[in-house]
Amino acid sequence: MRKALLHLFILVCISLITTTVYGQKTQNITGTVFDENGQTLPGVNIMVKGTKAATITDSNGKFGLSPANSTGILVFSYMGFETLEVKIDKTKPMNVTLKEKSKSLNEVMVIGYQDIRKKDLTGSVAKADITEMLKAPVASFDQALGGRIAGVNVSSGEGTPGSSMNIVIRGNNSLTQDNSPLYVIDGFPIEDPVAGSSINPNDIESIDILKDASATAIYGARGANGVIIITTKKGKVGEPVINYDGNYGVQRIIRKIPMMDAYEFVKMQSEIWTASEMSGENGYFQTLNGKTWTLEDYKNIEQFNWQDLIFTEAPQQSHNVSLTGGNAGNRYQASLSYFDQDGIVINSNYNRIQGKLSSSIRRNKLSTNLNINYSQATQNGSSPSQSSYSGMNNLFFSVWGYRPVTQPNVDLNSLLESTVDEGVDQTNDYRFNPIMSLNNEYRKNVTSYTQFNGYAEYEFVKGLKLKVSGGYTIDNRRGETFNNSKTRYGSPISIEHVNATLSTSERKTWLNENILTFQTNIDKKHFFNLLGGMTLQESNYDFYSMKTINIENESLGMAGMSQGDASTIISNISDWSMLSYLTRLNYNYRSKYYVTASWRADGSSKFSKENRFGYFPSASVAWTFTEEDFMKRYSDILHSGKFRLSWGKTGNNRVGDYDTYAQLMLLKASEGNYSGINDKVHGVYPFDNTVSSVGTVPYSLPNKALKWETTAQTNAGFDLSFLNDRIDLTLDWYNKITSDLLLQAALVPSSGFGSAMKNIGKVQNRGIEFTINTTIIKNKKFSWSTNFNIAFNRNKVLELAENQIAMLTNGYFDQNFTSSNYIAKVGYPIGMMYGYLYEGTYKVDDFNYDGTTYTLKPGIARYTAENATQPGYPKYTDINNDGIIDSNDQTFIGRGEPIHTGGFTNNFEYAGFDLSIFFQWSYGANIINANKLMFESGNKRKDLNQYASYTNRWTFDNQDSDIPCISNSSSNNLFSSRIIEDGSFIRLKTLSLGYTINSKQLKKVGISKARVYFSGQNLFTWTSYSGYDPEVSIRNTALTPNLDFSAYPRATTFSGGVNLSF
Amino acid sequence: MKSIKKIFILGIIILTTVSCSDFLEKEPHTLTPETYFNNESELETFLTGVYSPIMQEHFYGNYYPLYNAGGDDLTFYQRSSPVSSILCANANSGNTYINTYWKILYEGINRANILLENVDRNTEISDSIRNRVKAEALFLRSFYYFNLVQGWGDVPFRLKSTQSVYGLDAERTDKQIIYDQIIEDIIDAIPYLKRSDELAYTGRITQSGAKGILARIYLFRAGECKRDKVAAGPEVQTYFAEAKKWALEVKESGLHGLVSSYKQVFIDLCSDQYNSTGVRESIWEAEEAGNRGTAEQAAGRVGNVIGFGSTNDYSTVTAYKDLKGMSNPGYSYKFAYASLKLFNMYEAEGDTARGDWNIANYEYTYASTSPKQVTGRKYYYGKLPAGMTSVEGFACTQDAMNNSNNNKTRCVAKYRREYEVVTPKNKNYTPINFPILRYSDILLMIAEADNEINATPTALAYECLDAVRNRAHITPLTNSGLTKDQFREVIKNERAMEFCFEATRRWDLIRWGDFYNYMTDMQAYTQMAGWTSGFRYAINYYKVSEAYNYYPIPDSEMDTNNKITKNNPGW
Repeated sequence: MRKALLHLFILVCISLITTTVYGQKTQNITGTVFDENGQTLPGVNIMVKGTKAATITDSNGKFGLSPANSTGILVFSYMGFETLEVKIDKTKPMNVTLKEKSKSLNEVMVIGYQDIRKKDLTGSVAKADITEMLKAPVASFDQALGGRIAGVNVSSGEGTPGSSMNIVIRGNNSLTQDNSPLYVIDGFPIEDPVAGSSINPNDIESIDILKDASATAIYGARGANGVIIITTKKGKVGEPVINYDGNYGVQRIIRKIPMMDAYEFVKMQSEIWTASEMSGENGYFQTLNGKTWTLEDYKNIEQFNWQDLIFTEAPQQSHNVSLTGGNAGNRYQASLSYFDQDGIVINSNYNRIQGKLSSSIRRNKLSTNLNINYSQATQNGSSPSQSSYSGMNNLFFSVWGYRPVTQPNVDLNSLLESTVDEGVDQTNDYRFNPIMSLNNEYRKNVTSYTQFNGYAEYEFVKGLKLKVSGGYTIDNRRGETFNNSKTRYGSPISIEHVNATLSTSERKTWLNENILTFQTNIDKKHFFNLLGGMTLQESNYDFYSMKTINIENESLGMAGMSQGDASTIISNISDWSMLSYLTRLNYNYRSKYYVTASWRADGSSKFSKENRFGYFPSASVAWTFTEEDFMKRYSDILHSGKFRLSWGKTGNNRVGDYDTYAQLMLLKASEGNYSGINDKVHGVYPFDNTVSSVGTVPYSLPNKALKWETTAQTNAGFDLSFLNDRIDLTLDWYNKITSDLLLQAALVPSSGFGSAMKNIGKVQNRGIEFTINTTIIKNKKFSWSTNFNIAFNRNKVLELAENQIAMLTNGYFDQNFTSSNYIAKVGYPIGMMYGYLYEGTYKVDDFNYDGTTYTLKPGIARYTAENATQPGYPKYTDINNDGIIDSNDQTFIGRGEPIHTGGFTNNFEYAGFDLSIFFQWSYGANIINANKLMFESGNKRKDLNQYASYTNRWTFDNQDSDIPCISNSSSNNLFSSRIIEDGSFIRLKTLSLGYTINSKQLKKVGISKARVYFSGQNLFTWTSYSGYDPEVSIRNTALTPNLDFSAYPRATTFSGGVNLSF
Repeated sequence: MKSIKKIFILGIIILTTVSCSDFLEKEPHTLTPETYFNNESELETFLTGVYSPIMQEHFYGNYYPLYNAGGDDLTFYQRSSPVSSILCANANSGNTYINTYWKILYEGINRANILLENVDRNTEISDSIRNRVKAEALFLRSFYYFNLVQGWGDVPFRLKSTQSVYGLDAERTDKQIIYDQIIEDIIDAIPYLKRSDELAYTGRITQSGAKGILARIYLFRAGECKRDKVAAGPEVQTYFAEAKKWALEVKESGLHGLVSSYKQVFIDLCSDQYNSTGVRESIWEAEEAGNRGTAEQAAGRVGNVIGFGSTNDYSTVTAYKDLKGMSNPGYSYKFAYASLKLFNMYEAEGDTARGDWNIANYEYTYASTSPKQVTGRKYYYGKLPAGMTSVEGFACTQDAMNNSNNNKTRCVAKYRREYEVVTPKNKNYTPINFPILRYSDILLMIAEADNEINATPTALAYECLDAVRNRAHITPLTNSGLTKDQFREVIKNERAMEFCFEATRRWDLIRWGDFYNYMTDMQAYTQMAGWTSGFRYAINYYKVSEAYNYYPIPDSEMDTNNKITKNNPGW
């Protein structure tokens, strides 16, 4: 582990080495350089004091030098270590041990357009420990980022292989617009998180996260959601090193949800079906071949557990090969990687191939770099949760709902063999054979991502550099869908029959940046660094999709698409451009007082001329108070201490490319009619019964006044380092106010428009972040270090559209559940859950009983749509006490925002072994477990299996139960506190155990380093959540967090691998 | 090295001199109003968008005839669990059907405004085309406003297209001002519209259609004093005179007549035909088409929610879904049932031509096993046509007398899915058009208006009334010596029997000032013998208040429009 860290350091250091001259041929001084742990140090600079003779250590830490003078002093310098002077000793190989300097303070932070040492930082910037993150067996860096950095909330909506992560830094600013951060990959700003997952994590040199405004303001209009800067590896000086990392693992479902078995299922059916139906010719209690079946007969009968049939142990593997080497003038790095992951749901897969080339050339005052990265990721398998119309079309409705057993006269295996359960009324129930749909629905999404970028930097005079960089990315996506006759959407009973869809999109973006920096100092007391530049960026996007239906011969798959009848064709082209000017000044006085100021002007084509430019200033100060004389005496305890204070403004321009324009839409396809109450425009009027009649309608209003959403953020923080860096502590407090929200705001309906993008509303995020790194034990044999971080964010809506005090939203999963289940209300956090308060079931005592019917006692409230409330029906709080439970009785029923989130890592090293244990948690958020509306509600839907928990439903024999009885009461279908669950969890996210083999035998066969390791991911989760996993959010937006319906479950991964260097 | 330095400097100079105004100027790759309206075809496609609200599910396509306008004394909702709606007398200002109906009317108005503002952009398009497009847009805008005034009274009155996301608040305009304007606009439009004999279909507004709707507007305007319970002013007589004048113009055009078989009018609607007998009785229809089978969404739900079909669905049964007629009558929820009052009206007149069509005279019989296909028709007692034993080879039987007599509240059957011609038949979507204006309405409007402006019924009034009655095969009333008041009552009943379930009855009751009384009287009706006992919950659906003479201004408008602070009385 230590070695791996060092290797990383080397990469950073070597790239910064400015002068490197190889020694002469005869070498009469030799030696090896070690660190304090006895590990060799490659790339250490060695100079003969007072001469030009110099060299560096090779990859084994060895050096040789033949100075003209055999006496004198060698100066060993190495980034991150204290410089050491040693007298030349020719008599024997010199063994030199370098002492590490304060590691954390000298860390190089990438802050956008320049790098800075951590001790000189004035803003809130965090560096992710990529070495730690690499221990998790995951496809991309973002999957390992969660819990690593305080205030960076990373979650995935569900466990689909290859699904992208939702990253939110310091809370949601925007109500209706995207809250994901800006990614800057090797200097190239990209708003789409997919770019991040196209990078092989092994190629990542560093990940720096800019959190406060003084850091993000340099990215101006796109910095408000925070910035993630990813720097990929460059070549390093030295002999060519080939590194191979291979890993194989197995994933398993974490937990299955207990369903009713055949006995409980049939027992429930007997409460749904009438007695005569049950004993009739199609009933479960029929008489067949002289035998009359009873409930007891269904005990221990042969039956299905559908979850057993669709979940599988899924393999995953990854292979990385990288090559790096070069000399001072010319360095190269190349890598190839392959990642392949099957999903734990059958017939789902994610794989990625990726290759990268990097070359750096340095000639005197000119240095250049060129990078090419290509990746192609393929995702196979249909999503279980994203069907748009009915929740019944989602996979787990069928998996859970498919019955475990059939009536005696129906062959049990017929369930497996038919596309649908013949016993189910297909007109009102879309259950579909889940095995068949998984095996036959062909869904393939391919994302190809190509990035070229490079720069040339020239130093005119000492301290004055011009860097010109350019980049070009091509993001190409292709989606293929094929529904054959054994699928839900292509079966003979479907309207479109066998059908195929092909869609492609391409986004091409280019960037040019020209940055001038000037660095100087006055009397080594006043240090100045001035930066200025301008950047240009332009992006073009196109999308095409075509569909054919009624395909005659399905055996050809996509190749037979042309056989079908043409159906929907969609085309869409858009573009945007940005022009920006930026400047930053860093000043410090004797590394004691720091001032940073930056300013950026962003012009965007998305806004009209009058509002095109946005201006984003920031300023920050820092005071390293431990540099003050009066603090020096405490330096044994408080090694270093800094106070930071910053303020700045950043923006968000994530609106449509043409939102300022009035636009018309030519409608023919599916936009002909309102399907419900949504805002869909419509235009087709079929004159003369002609369905192809096409209409044009206005669908958006011009808004020339549209402008940037602005976030003003104040940040105050301490960086403290105790006991000679044994304890590092960072504490930040921030207050962000986002105003002129880009909000899809409701308009006056009589204007003829439903909503428009407007700058309306205000949101606040306040919070505290705390990080502590400790090195508890550190000696040559054993070390133990920890990282602990925790973040508290409080989100609050301060203002909405004119006069609006609340904004209601439906987190959609089914067309029968379209009432608002989320609310954003002034004074409260965004994404509060909204609905009725559940009081339990109506009990017999609530009724008057006349011997035949139960009539509610006067004064006991009933649900409005219910003519006859009965015992066992769900009972909700009549908040306004009017005797009727209706929409006026809805209130907050849960919170989407966690109270705190964080992570805790422990690292141990002993005699070649390294062990890393990482926990992640989230506390205080709720989940809407919408699955319970269908699987713990007994809506009298025949033959629909239910959760095993529903065996405890209210019946006259079980009158204490607060689970509603079987009824088709519409009150079963309400969003209420009944289905709100605590989503808090703490998870043993990553555990990794490795052993580095330090063997001469290996060295002989050319292996310089070998490490074998075992790692596990999502090993254990402590939670009270009853669904598959508490990290769930199938409609993940700021307004609709943490909704669970038929989400893809998360897997536990066990893997083992080997890491070899040649 | 020098050269590199030069390249750098040159590069910077080039880059910084890129004209930023050009670089940041991006025109949308989508249609904009600025770049549209160039030729005839673009005018026509935009006009299609102006028509579009008419066929939407929130207008004639589904909800309006049922939930909004269906709340009258002839209909009830055949479910014990009410739907929040005017129909079930439990609406509020948050009601979906009210909110969206309001919204799409204004969408239509805004579209018409945009078209009117841009129609003359290219003057090279021939005058005749531009004038007709203009006339249709002008008419449709007026028609949408009439629907707003009819529903809500005073409403925001916008005659210019919406141009900005700001400053959209608008006060309610006095309905009389709106009436004046829309009447003037329709009169201006009429000469430029197509004549009915110039079109082979009836989904487009014609001169006859516009004149008929104008007559309807005048009649409703004449009844505003009754709705508002104020004394009738002298202008009311002129409204009746104008109504008569415009309706009479349609009559005298000679383009229209009554189809001899009442039911054929509706069979045409159901089977995608337009006045198949050659007699132009249907003057204006809301068009619905297709079965939502592929990409198009032009089918509505007439016949599926309000209308008659099978209670079993065959749309997913391979063997039946492509069949028509009795073999696959199409699914219907049968939400709308006819009240006993309407049944008794027909019985009293011996009106079977209309009664046995508008109210189901049979129910299907089904096989007992899935998919429970239709095996025949079982007629209610006394409804089996003499000598009929089968239809399309399916057996026709008759129900027992007692059963039928206890069960006189029957399904609305004006729109019958049996006659659909588009296959496969969708469970929920139908191509059945909705009748907006028929010639019999023209005749009865003449009769009614003429009666109001004369002391006693004239020959013209009788002629028009009896044309309708003769077609229904019920006793003509010419020379029956009715007084003016008696004649008015006859007209009221005649309109009920002729136009039930065509989304006009509720408005007739309101303009006659009868709405509240007639509706509350229905509460007793629901308890009478013959009202199927299982349907007596319908009593709740007739418990309207006086507030129901108007719709509530929708919450969506009240919440966003700062210039409307007060809702209609009672809401």
